[in-house]
Amino acid sequence: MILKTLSVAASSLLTQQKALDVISQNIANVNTPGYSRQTAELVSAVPDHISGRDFGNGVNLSTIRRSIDPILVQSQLTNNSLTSLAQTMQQGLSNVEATFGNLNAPGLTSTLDAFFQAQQQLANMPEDPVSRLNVKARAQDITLRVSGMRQQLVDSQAATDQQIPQLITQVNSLLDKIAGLNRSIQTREGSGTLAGSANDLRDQRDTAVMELTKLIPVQQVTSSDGGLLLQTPGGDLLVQNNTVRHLKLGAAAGSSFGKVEFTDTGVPAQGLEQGGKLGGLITLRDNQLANYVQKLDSLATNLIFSVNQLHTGGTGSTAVTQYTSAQATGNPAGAVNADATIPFASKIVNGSFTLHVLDGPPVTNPGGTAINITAGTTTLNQIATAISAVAGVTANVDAGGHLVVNGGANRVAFTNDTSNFLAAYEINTFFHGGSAADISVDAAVGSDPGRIATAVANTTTSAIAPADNTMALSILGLRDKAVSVDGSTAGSPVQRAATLASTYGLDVAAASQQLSYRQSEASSLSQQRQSISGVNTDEELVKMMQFQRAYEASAKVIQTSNKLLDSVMGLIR
Amino acid sequence: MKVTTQQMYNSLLTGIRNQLQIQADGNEQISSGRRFSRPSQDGLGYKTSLDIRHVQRGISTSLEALGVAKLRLGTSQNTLAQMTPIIQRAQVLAVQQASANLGSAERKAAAVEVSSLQDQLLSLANTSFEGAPLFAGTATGSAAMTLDASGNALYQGNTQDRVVAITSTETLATNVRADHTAFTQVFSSIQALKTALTTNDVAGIKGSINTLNAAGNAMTELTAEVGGRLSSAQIREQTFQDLQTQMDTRLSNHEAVDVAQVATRLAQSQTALQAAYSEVSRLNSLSLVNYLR
Repeated sequence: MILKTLSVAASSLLTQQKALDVISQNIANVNTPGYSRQTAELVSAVPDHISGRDFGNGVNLSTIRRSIDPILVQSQLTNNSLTSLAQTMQQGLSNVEATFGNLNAPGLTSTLDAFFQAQQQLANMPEDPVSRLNVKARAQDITLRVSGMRQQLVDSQAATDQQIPQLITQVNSLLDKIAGLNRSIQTREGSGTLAGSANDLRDQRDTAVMELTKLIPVQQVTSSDGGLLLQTPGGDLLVQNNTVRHLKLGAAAGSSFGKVEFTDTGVPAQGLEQGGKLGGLITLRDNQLANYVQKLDSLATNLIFSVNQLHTGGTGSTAVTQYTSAQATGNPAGAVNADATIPFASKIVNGSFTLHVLDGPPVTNPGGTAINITAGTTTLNQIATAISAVAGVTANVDAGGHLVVNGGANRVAFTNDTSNFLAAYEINTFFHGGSAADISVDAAVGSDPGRIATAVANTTTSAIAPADNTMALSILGLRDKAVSVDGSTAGSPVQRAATLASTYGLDVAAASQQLSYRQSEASSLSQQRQSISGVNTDEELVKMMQFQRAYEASAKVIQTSNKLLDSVMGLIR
Repeated sequence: MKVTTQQMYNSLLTGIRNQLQIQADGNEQISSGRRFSRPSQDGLGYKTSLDIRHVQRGISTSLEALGVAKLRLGTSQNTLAQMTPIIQRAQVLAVQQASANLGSAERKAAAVEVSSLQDQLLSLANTSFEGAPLFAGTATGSAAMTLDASGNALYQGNTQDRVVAITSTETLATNVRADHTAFTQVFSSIQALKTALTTNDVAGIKGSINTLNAAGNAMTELTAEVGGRLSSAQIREQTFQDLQTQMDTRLSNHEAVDVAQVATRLAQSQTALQAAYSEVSRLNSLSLVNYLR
């Protein structure tokens, strides 16, 4: 029986040693991210049944269990994904903040205000050449700012898009890693009694999945054999045990950006925009930034067309004898409203404009001559012919497709364009272009501010008064007038610019609020995880002392047994 | 609930991070004097700020425009007022020359003076303001008025008034045109007196006393009307100045930071931060390891 005592004590020594190993592992990993505290579970060994009595065989290490709460892990995965989304959005939006200016330099609204202020000053002093120069300079400020802002936003969109392939590489690498860990866990655990025993590998896999959720949103399903299935929120399979489906960034279609799709099928992955850094980048690229670009384009489109619509019917201080349309058509024999390359061709409607030729005194056609246009029918060639029929002026379509109206020595002016033809083909316009991408001050106005329209030719006599400010007042009227030529919600230019800055501000606020909420939830979940899976060194040290004492006691048992054996041996001597 | 050392460090770190953010925000608010400066700090508030600035810009431009209007109206009033004594002198001459005791020689001499008065009136009617004729409407390419060979005044301007844009939708006529009936009466009556004096037409001279009187009254009425418009512009200016003050106050209320409140918050945050720093160093000594020697 003394030998029995020895073997029981020996089993205790070995088991306490293993338990100390587990504690050592816990202390070693106290700062390891994703590590779950492990506990050595001890059981008494199966006893020997002798003469109707059970004699214990000592202690065994039954299992090393990791402390984890699967529901908590799932909550962390979801929150992780949403935190990353909010963080990416907030960061991405902050990067373009300078584009929208600040209260010290309010940017676009202030530039628009300065333009209309200059316009008001010109209206009040139409003969003043300096006021004209000022209007031109303020208009150039607008075009530079609008196109600069658009470029910054488009650059940010492109930069966001360029981050996606790099991110997809990381996602694919993590998917491979998870599949590899699946394989290792299944091999290690096999089936049956060892199920769930590959603690460190499972921790590593959990950490990898946690890392993955920072990049893309995933749903996970675990199987009893240690396998793991990952899919996108849209239900597309990403990983199943050791099978992996890689992602790639698809080709860009037209002006839109490429979608994230599966390498094997080329089909876009569903639901990726719902979370993770990738979701944040996609949302930022396709929603927020695209929305700002669209709003900026709309502002520019409305400003260009509404100013030009009025400006074509006015005249400046310079006696203009020749006009060349800034827009050209590739088909002068086609209907003027059918050329899709001209930004506002579709705005041409049935109507007319009045051509005044100041060939007098006296003027041959006082009050001007109406040139009629029928949308879908009238061609540029026909308009040239109709203009040439008026005394004192000729018109032709040049080789480049521009309409040239030439009065020779006679001053030529236009009024009352109800057809929008002059604005669409940019004859006597103020702005050039169709959106924020190509807005500029008309070249003729740019080189001669005397062409900025302030007056209107008299509808009865065709006379043009130098101090007439009718047109300047009409253009000034656009300052607070809500207009829409592109189907957007009507708004004045300043309102549109202020709404754009405000929309941006609210987007950032929403992203910041979401981030703050998610971070606070992450902190709470992390506390809970620490509470369940974290390592408390004090607690481990206390446990260590317990096992140390048990170890020492077992050693004492061996020592005592040894003395007993010595005594027995002494009897023999 | 079990608490780990890492949890405590994490909590302290989060707290320190939050307090540092409060410090950074507070410092920005104190240094700028504003609750917010960027759209990301207050999206809706930023738009209100832009709207107020838009209105302020409009008000300052309106005040500038009213300045232009007042200057033109003031110059017009001044010029018209100078016409009245000339007409009165012509009236005096007419009364004197209507006397039966005077002969054609005296009347011819008086006609020379009347001609001079007519020239003065013409010169005043053709007054220039900022290089353009003041009474010619918007047709500023030529003088407002000329005299034909018979001495009749001919209006050379057009019928369009010079309006000043006070706001983008509100305008104010700031001129008087020389085709106004007061001008017509003045020039026709003085020409009639001149002709009557030259031709020694006593009845004509007597007749011109009444027409000159009527012309003088018409000119006085016109001057008063311009004065009324000038006064209206001044009232409008006062309204804009009041509005400007209101907008300045509104902007200040909307944007200005409550310095005392921010300073208090900063002080509180500073205390919390110091406590957190002290706790970080203290936490290090709170371990069982220190007692296992």
